[in-house]
Amino acid sequence: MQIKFDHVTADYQLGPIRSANIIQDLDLLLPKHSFTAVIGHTGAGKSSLLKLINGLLLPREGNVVVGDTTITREGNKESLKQVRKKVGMVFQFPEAQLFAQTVEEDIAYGPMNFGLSKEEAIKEAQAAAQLVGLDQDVLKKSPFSLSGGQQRRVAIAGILASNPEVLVLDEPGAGLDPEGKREIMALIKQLHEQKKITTLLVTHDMDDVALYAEDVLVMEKGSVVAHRKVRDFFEQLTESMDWAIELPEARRFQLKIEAKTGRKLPIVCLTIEELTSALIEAELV
Amino acid sequence: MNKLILGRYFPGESWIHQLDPRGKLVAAIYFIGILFFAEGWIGYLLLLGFTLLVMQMSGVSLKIYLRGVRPLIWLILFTVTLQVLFTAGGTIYFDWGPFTVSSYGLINGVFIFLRFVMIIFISTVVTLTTKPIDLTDAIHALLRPLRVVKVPVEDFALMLSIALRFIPNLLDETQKVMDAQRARGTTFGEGTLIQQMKTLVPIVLPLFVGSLKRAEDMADVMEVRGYQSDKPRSSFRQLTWTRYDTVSIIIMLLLTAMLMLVNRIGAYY
Repeated sequence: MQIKFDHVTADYQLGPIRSANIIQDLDLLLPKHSFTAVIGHTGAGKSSLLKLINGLLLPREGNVVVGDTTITREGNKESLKQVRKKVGMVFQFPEAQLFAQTVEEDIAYGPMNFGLSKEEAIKEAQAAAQLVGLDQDVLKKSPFSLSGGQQRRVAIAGILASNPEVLVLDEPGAGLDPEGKREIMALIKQLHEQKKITTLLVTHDMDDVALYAEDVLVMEKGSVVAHRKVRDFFEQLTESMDWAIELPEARRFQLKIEAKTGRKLPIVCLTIEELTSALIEAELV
Repeated sequence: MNKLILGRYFPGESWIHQLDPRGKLVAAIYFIGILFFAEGWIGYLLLLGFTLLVMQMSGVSLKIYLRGVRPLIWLILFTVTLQVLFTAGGTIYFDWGPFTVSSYGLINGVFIFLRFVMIIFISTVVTLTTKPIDLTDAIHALLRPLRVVKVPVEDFALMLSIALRFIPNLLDETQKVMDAQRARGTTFGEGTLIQQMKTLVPIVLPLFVGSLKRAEDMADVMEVRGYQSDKPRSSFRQLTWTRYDTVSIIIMLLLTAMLMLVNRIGAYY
């Protein structure tokens, strides 16, 4: 599903106090089935961008088009519901949204809100639980009795159960151990590939960008300052660019090797695997 | 959520802002006390004039004060209506069973309305011009004599400051959880009363869980840092009583004297 931002400006209205524009005249086109990583400093407007796609934040000017639904300033209730059904949103620390008595009920909450009957919703919940790798016996337990990593899986299942066509995620790996984080990221990548879900991922970790995303979107002060293919982006990224973006680990290592040996590898390596084979080819190991 | 002005502080440089919170608190409570001694139009006008003057001096716009009245307006109108309907005496305009609308009733209604509004205004002045933390210190200081009768004043003050401290966090968290549930298709403020109450469960429950977790963390951190509830402690923020605070108390006493005088004059008519 395609997502289009057309001259969008947005802010948070806090009673009489209006904050500065969080999103400033933003134009953006995310094609169908794309996997885009959003990076930028804290306060650059990344989370607001995600909220705009879901209609949780309404544009003050311009409009956001998700598939064939348009979100405008007025925020028509029906179209918002449509959009929220199509766009699954995984917030930072999504386990804070768990509330039901059993895991199954919690996962089924979304589908039931979107008009499925209880039986259908439970069926979807079971499928979603399987998708995220939760055991059957967990379904009848209380979500609060699970570990942090498990809770996060439940929360993500609760979003996948509505069968979204777009998935927007705000640092889904934050606060998990490396193993848990890898599993969650692998799951997102797999969903993107199998179900052709258009994915938008906010992250601070450049290794995530290099490993999972296809495109990268750099935000600064509420605007998009770069939107490119991941490889192009990292190939052109030089130390002098003032976005203060770290390179992926493998690339940093490559630069160190190149400096030490005085030889330049033929390609820019973004993952450990690429670097290993490039080093073997260059007969440096 | 953002319309709530209770406990919100508006920074400023006014005279009222700079008063000692203890003096301010005492003066406000005292003012509410003398409100009940006002008789007749002149007395009420005097107090209303004083209230408006104080509000003007605080430098906060009238709009904000009016917003403080809004959540209570139905309660006020209900009380006023009862007062109007059940007070007899004077000229009777309307009579239906036990209900009468009389001139005394109407006048009483207006007085009660004014009294309510002034109570709200004056307490809003205090909360708008005093940092919550200063207010806690003031309450702590004013309750201190109760220690003689073994009231745990310190614990009480600590509880109050922790509660105030976490209001913004709780509001933030509420917003977050609401967003998360809305993304899962919840619509708030729709359907029958029962349905609307049901949509609150997915909000309130996560908030409870979060608060309990935070309380536990906080207790742990306090233990680790050696907090003990029954030990005497000194305070980082010191309250200082200045000449202006004494002046403000004197003004309150003068106001009382004027009110008494005005009441006496009113009695001659």
